[in-house]
Amino acid sequence: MFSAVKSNVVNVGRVNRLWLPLNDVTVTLAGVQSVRRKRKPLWLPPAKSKMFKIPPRKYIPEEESRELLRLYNNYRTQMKIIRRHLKNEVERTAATSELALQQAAEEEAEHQALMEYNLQENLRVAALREKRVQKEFEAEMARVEATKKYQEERALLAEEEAMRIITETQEFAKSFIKREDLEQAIETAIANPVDYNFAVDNEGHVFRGRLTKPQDTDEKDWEKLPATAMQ
Amino acid sequence: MPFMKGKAPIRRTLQYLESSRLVLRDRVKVVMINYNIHGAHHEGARDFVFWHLPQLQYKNPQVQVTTLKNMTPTPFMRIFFENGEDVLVDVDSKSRTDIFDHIKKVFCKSDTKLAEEKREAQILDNPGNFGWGCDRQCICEVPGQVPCPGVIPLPKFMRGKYKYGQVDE
Repeated sequence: MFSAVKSNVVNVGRVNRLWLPLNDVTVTLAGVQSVRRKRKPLWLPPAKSKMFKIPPRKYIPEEESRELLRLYNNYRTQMKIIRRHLKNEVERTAATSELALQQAAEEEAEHQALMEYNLQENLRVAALREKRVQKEFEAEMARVEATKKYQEERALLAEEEAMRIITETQEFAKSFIKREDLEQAIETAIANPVDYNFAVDNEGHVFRGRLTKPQDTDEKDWEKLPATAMQ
Repeated sequence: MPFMKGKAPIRRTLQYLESSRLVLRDRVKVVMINYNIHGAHHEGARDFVFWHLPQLQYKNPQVQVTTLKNMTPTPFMRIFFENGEDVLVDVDSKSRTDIFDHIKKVFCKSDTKLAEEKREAQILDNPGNFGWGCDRQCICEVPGQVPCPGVIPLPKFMRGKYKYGQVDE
């Protein structure tokens, strides 16, 4: 019978003998370590030799057990007392010991010094801030002044402009034709017709009037248009 | 990229947060900073909040750090201590680095103290210990020590029931 499983059972002359003096209770763990199992698996039934075994029950007489309990209780109470006492001692001395007090005092001093430094810094920054605010205030006032001046100038100009318009219109109003002078004005207009016709030649001489001819006036009296377009 | 959120995502990196030295002293409990969003003299405070506040909170998770915006014309910080007293820090027209240095000097643990605390922590952390939270769970894991009795039973002379004799009924 060929088995792929490595077994401690060896066939010696048709009789199976165990090769190693082990009870097949070794198991390899990950091939690295052999485990000797501590107890039999739970699913195996009890062995024949143990079938009717009654586990012995310890009997301690009542007085003895009471005495034991009393002794144990006393012992445990005393241990607790000692431990608690020592703990309290440690806590007490830790807070009021010289080293702790010294450290606390040092920390306080350091804190005070730092608060002092902070105060100084605050004062310094406050001074700078005052200056900045002052400057900003002055700049603001200057700006306001400038705006006021500008507004004043603008108002003045507007006034002047208004006065100019008024005087111009007054002048203009003088040339209005009144109702009484209407017929007279019509007659003058008919008597003096305005001729808007004109002619222009290549050299820029302008000849005003519908019936004007270039031959009518001398060449040196011809009107020349101002040459401003090509400049 | 889903993790590079915000204006300067470097502020969210662990390396940036860990590298900060702004560990506040034990007595500091609340840090309050007041500043405006606009204004040249608030610029330092704004930058400080933008760059260093995450670091401050990371290093001091038990301290309350709050920002109040657009409430006063000048920026300032208010630090509250354990005993209830509070301290004002004027940061008007100060630059970011100035504020940082000032806070570090006045309210944080100094570098020497931090180094000391780190050293103490290392001393407590004895590599020879075993158990929960240590490198080894049990001394039986170390080669050369007695192997685990749960795996290999102890020899009889080390076992109590054989040393002190089995109790007969």
